[in-house]
Amino acid sequence: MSGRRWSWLVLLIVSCGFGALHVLGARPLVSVLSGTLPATELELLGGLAYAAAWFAVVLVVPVVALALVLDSACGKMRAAVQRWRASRRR
Amino acid sequence: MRLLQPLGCLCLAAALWVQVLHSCFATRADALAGPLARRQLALWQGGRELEASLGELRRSNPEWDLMARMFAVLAFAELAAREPPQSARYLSAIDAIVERTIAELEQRGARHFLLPYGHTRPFVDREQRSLFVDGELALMLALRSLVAPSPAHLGAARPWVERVVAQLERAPQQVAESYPDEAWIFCNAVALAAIRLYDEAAGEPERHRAVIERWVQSARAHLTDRSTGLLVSRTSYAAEVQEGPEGSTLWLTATMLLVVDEDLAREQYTRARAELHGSFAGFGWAREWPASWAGADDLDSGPTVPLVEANAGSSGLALVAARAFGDEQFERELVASLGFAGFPSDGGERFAAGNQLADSVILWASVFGPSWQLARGGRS
Repeated sequence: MSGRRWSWLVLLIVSCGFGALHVLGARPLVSVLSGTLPATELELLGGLAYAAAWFAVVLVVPVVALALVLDSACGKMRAAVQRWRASRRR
Repeated sequence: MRLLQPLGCLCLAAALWVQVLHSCFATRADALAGPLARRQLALWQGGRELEASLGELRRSNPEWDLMARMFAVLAFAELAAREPPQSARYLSAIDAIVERTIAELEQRGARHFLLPYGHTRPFVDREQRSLFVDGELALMLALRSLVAPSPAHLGAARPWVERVVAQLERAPQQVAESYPDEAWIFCNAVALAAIRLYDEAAGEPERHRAVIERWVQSARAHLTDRSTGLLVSRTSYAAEVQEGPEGSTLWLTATMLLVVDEDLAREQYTRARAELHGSFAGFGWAREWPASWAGADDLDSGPTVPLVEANAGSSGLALVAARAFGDEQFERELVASLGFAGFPSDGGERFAAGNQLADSVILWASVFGPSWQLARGGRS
């Protein structure tokens, strides 16, 4: 699998991880961010995991996805330019 | 060379995303009010959800239990003044909060809302009372009297207001104790606002002018950090500085001082903004400590995000102050941050990153205005 495909797969896994935490009801657990004491250690971990997944989905996933699209577009443009140059040489 | 293109694309993507991200969370503070008010009002009707929520606050910090009540009353008073047809609902919620608080103080004593270290030694002042508790209750009662004046409510507020006046007058430099040998400026500012609100409600705006002026003079002389010009956050009963300027104290203090001494209030807000405001790409936050004062996080104000020094408690109260001082740019930035990192839940009825106290602070910020206008003599 190419590096670009791996990157898309990682982004998909991160997004699905966030979706799963959301569906499992972890959002209310992020109250730990304001210093509110969680009832159990599991709640603490759930809150921190949800917050990390949210910031990854909002900050990292869109940037990397946009970068992959731009990179792919640049690659296609370069290939097109090379094909055009090759056709001119012939 | 192979890495240059992907790295360039990553930088370009990051630059583009940073420019548009804040617009995904942009809204006005007053747009937050409806859902938050709905939940707070439902919560204060009583029941298991309220008990669980207050229990959660007390588990973290018993002070938050009382503060959540005070900020709910501040918000409900604004809503009662804003929406006269609905005012009966808000006023009855205020009455329920005040009655419950007085009953708990009678049953469990004045230290019920203090952190454990407040139980370990006596107050210096002979009356053995906490200005934190008496001041917040006095503010709730005074505000209730101000938004819907009646002889009964004025009568209920008067002993609590006179109690905090006496505490301030007995203190060597007019700064009264919240904890044994600890005077918190946050609590002193709340008490002063309570006095002013009560005097305005009673139709005697100059009644306690002398004690207020003495406090302001003392604050300028003894409670001001020389390097920043900001009010410090904690002193001993003798007004020796114990902790420097603290964001979560300053934003609320400036807002309270608006009805006490507008010049000092505006000066403090301007200085606090210069020292504590942070922003990036349309998002704003507030530091807990100015760069010149290395303070530690405390239990009241919650954790601080490293590097940018964004503090949850300071940023929440900065939203109140930004509204109070008409600072629209800071308000927009803070609201964007709230949407991004506050985790709005249940259709905006609460912010999951906070708790009931944080929600009531944000609700107060989102409806701030009419009652402070009344307190500044705006009824006529």
